[in-house]
Amino acid sequence: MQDTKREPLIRIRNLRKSFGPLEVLKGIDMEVREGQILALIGPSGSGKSTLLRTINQLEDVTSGEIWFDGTLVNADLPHRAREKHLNALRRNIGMVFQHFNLFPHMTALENVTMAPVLLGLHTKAQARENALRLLAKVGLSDRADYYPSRLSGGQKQRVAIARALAMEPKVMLFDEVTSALDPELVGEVNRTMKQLAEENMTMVIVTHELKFAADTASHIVFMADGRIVEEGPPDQVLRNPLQARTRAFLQQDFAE
Amino acid sequence: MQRVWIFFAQASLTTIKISGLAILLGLCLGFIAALSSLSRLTVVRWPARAYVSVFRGTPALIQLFLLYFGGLQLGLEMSPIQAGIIGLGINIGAYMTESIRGAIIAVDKGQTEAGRCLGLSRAQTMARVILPQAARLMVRPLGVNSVALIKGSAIVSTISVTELTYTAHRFISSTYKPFEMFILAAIFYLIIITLFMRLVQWIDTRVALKE
Ligand SMILES: Nc1ncnc2c1ncn2[C@@H]1O[C@H](COP(=O)(O)OP(=O)(O)O)[C@@H](O)[C@H]1O
Ligand SMILES: [Mg+2]
Repeated sequence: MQDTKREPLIRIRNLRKSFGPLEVLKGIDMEVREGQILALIGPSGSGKSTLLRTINQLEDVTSGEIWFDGTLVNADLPHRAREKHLNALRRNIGMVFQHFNLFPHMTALENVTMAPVLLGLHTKAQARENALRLLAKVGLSDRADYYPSRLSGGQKQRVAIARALAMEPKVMLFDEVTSALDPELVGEVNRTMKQLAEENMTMVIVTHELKFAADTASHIVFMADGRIVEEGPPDQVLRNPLQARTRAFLQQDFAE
Repeated sequence: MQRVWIFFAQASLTTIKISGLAILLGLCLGFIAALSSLSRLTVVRWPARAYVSVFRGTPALIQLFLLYFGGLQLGLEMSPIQAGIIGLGINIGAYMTESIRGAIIAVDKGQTEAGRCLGLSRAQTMARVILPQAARLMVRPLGVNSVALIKGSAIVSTISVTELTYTAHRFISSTYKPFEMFILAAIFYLIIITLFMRLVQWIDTRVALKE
């Protein structure tokens, strides 16, 4: 395929990360290609969130390299220069959190328009138009003027997705975005993500929902104890895993 | 007795003026010191922490005397009212620093992360995301600081500012009625503080989270 010759959008090389004496990432090598839907699975505490958060440098790293779109993300720069460099990078990397982190003092619409206007991506009018389009896309046209306190968890999470999309990112990172939701609200958020996947958005999804990963992802990465144990297409990793560690994880999970 | 009321009413205005200006000065210093104390840079953090420790750790009366009498000795001439406003303002600013800093720290860390993830700078995140949320958390503590200041403003009577407490003293020496005069002063303080607390409550509802 033509595509595989292109540079991957994200390339991670021998990444290590410690919190004090605790080594959480023990040499990760990973690539994310444009348009790829990568699901990151593994037991709790295996380092999935930490890995995701190093990509946009919410966590700095101990050693190794993270490349995004041809730029070394964790370049060793003086503080000022590094801040500028990260601000520029982060505009292109959308992130959605487990606990939504919507701005409670802004309406849904304001949550979505704030960054594009402040950072000069759009004029106020453009940003508003764009935000209304995005809110419609996530099925929340009628909630544009609501404050987060009046939205359900599923609605909050869809606003958070719209907020991230408003910066027109090249990749979207999702960290267990349905874990804090009541079971009956999971579906609406999953559908929104699925829709993005169908539009070829590049996505890295940390999830414990194996069924969703199987349905949506084009590539599965299984992590345990700070290492990548196994990766490949969903059919292989989820149905015919090569590693005993993967099989144990899958059995345990399906048994629950 | 009629005359006494008028003097006390005028003295209340002086107490209100001194307290009001000292509160404004304290708020300015408090914001600057609170933001400084959260800086990444030690050279910015350190003076802010020192300011808080020194001015909370020594009597306000000594600070006031140092400013006024010490100032006179060093050729820094100030009217008693000016010295009172500056002395009280610097003192309450140290307490306000802690109230403001506490409110900023109390905003969920996820809010900063959400702001930074969108590409906002530290300053933009502080201004647009953190401070608007911290504002509603700091109104009450700052109100408590301000009430303490209004009551504490009695100390400027010691440098002959004709505010409420000074006025009570003055009438006691001419009338020999300490009981009545101090009760009268207390009533005026109570009125000022009750009105002030109304104001704080009003501000609190104004900055409350909208639904
Ligand atoms: N800020 C932190 N400070 C110290 N330890 C942390 C921090 N964040 C995560 N950890 C630890 O790192 C390990 C991996 O955490 P995490 O990346 O959240 O795993 P996962 O998302 O796979 O559940 C855990 O042992 C966790 O306790
Ligand atoms: Mg996690």
